[in-house]
Amino acid sequence: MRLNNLTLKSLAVLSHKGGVGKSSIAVNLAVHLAKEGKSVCLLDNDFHGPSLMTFFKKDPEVQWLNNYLLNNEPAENCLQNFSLPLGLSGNLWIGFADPGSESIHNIIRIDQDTSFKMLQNLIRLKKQLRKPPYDIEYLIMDSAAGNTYGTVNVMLITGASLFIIKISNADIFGTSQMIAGLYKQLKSRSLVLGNLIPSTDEDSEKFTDIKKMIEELFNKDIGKNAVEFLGWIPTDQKLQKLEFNAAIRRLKGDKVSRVIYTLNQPNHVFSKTLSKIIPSLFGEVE
Amino acid sequence: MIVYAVYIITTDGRTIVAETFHENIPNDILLGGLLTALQNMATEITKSKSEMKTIEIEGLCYHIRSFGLIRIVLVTNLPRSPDDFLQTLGLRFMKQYGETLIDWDSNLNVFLPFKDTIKEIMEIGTTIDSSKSIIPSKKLSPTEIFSLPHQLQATALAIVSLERGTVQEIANETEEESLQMISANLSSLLELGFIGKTKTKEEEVYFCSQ
Ligand SMILES: Nc1ncnc2c1ncn2[C@@H]1O[C@H](COP(=O)(O)OP(=O)(O)O)[C@@H](O)[C@H]1O
Ligand SMILES: [Mg+2]
Repeated sequence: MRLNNLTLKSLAVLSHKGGVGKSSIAVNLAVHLAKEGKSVCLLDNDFHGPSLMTFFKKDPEVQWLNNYLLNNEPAENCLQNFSLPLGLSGNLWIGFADPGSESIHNIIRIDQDTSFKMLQNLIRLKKQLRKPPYDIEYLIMDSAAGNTYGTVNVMLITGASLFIIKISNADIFGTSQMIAGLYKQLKSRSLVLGNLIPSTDEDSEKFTDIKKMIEELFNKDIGKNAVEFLGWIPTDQKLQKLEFNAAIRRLKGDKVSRVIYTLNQPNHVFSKTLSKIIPSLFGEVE
Repeated sequence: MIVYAVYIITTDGRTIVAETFHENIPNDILLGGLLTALQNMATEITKSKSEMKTIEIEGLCYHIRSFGLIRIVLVTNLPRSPDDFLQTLGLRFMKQYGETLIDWDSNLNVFLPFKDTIKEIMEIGTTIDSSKSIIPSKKLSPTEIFSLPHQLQATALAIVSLERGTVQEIANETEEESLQMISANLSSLLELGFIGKTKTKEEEVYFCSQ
């Protein structure tokens, strides 16, 4: 008899460059799934630029994920359930990366031995998440941009990788090269989602054309059908304004959290795009 | 911890007990390392007066501790000093042979019974590598695992998580592979030098380096 229950599905959210929407997408995906009644765990694995605490109010009693991975703190002390505060029907366990300067300093100097220990603890955490009280069905890992020890660890322990790209020259070709560089070694499925597309029109003909060109590039760089292009999320001007205003309020000393569309705006393009691609992300097609 | 060899050496440099547990590491490699370790120890001692020392040579760790007229040398796979074992070995030896040593007539046979004592002491809590076993020459770092062929990755991750385990235990740790698959993968990882295998009385245990 196997100890593990086989239903845990896992996803790494990655990108070539920073600021392309990894965290926003990881958060909205996780909240959407938990709202649907699923048991979800969302981990901030971007130790260079932690950001989950900008979306959720972390309980000061809850320890940072860094302490579990590096300092032998039990995992249960490093996970916080947001099911109740957000009114979700499923559980949403979140592990936060420490944004403090000392911890960032330590992460910058990470060596092979430490990254080995982090990997070891991540594998063990994944195992623990399969069991009660967690019984996690979906594990989503927000990552740092580019290739770091951290992203290698995340790719090793997840079943699929979602690369977020901005459709800009540098990012699209860079991502293609990045996946090509990694792909020979990737055991997981690789998926690509565009974000921050300047126009809001959802002209399907134009979409098909662009999708075709991007897929051709990936086919050429990486191999035929090695990567699936899932579509894109347009730039939401309102969101940029909201984020700006929130930042100003924060500077004034208010406690503000960033907006999560899937929480209460199911018709927002963010929510609609993400809920549409979930079956592809987790291999639930057919 | 795996113990590859135990040596007892007099302060004037004569090996009076030598017990090795490893067929795959040639004796001259062990002894060559031992010589370097002792030389190192000698210079260190005059400098620091310390009576304990761990010296790593070609992946083997030589732990040396002085007890009056003798030095105990334990060769293991880990840099952490096995203080308990050194202590027990030293004290037991001095208790059994302390007086013999004072006016010893160079007959090595008198110390032969101590080989059994060594085995007895070692059997508690260490793996005596008395079978054909292989130590890992490479570490399974995240980037090494990432560069492995796909089909080996899950097995590698399982052994990293467990640190050591039987084929069955490693199979339980992975998500979906069969016992035969895991067995084959472990053999490949062993061949590639990423993991080691030891055989204790009734089971085969695979392990990775820490
Ligand atoms: N589709 C979008 N429309 C408008 N702004 C967006 C969109 N996606 C992300 N953003 C904004 O872009 C910024 C970077 O997003 P974030 O998720 O933090 O990226 P990353 O995690 O890749 O660094 C944030 O201010 C976020 O609100
Ligand atoms: Mg981010």
